[in-house]
Amino acid sequence: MNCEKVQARLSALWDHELPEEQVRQVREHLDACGACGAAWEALNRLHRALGSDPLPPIPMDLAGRIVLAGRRRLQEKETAPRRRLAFPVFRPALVFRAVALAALLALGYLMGASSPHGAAAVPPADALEVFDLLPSQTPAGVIVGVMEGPEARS
Amino acid sequence: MITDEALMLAVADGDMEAFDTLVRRHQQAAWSTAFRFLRNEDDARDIVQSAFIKLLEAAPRYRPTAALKTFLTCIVTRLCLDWVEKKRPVAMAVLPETADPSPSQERAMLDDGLAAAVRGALSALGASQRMALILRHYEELSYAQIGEAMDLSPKAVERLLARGRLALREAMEKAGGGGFLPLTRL
Ligand SMILES: [Zn+2]
Repeated sequence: MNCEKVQARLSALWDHELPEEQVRQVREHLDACGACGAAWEALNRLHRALGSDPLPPIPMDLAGRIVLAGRRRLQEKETAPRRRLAFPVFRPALVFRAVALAALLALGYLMGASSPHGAAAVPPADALEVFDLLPSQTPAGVIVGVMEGPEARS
Repeated sequence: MITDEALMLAVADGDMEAFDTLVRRHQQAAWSTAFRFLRNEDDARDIVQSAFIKLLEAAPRYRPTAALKTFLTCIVTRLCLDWVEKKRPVAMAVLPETADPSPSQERAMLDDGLAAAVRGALSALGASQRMALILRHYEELSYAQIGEAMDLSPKAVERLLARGRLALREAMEKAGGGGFLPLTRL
């Protein structure tokens, strides 16, 4: 393994995320190479520096405020008309998913591709129902396919 | 100690005491991530509050398949990234002023200076690199967990962290010399 490859792997080595066989190769190189040893030492210093940055205390009674806001939110929900239950089909998130699914299917059909690949973007929090992060409980079948948002895995 | 999952199920039944317990148990981690990312106490407080309200609203549909802490981290992360996406400026840390320190002050100033240099260098990174570094270094998440929170593959997280650390190192060396000694300004 040359210096360039070793230095590209130092970050993952630091995080204990490097495959076992590469760990041995990189460590052997580090023992023998001054330049890469210096890069490893710089990574050490960087992490000491990150650790030296203090965190200000949590604002006074943040938890109390959050719980109060939570109670208000639940009260609002109780008094609000129950549109969602009456007309679940109009939920924007569901419409978004349906459109996205249709677009993906159309794209896949047109291009003959087995799996679509889009840009690596994080879906904005506003566009996500909070339970996009968890397995769906409701009309599962259709939704699950597009729940993970834009394809970002490589 | 009652588990997070049991508390969430109680919250789903409208138990606000259980919600209170959950908030107190996890507010530190949420605050740490939000503040370190946004560098502004008011903004971080808003994000933490929004994240817990989303958690509360999600409770009726909650099933204990994912660790609650991971789930909350996902919410905080996405709210933070969304915040930046909307072009709200993230507060820039200011590099330390160089004074003539007395020997007794020197150690403390060195620490303060180092911390300020880290803040400055972190602020200069892109949002994704900054968030990945925060989740890795301060929350000690694995690449898979960071990937889940940021909607990226573990391999993409690996690249993000490697590039972020390199950029951070360069920024700190620029600010404070090869040994990151921040008392000598450019
Ligand atoms: Zn080398």
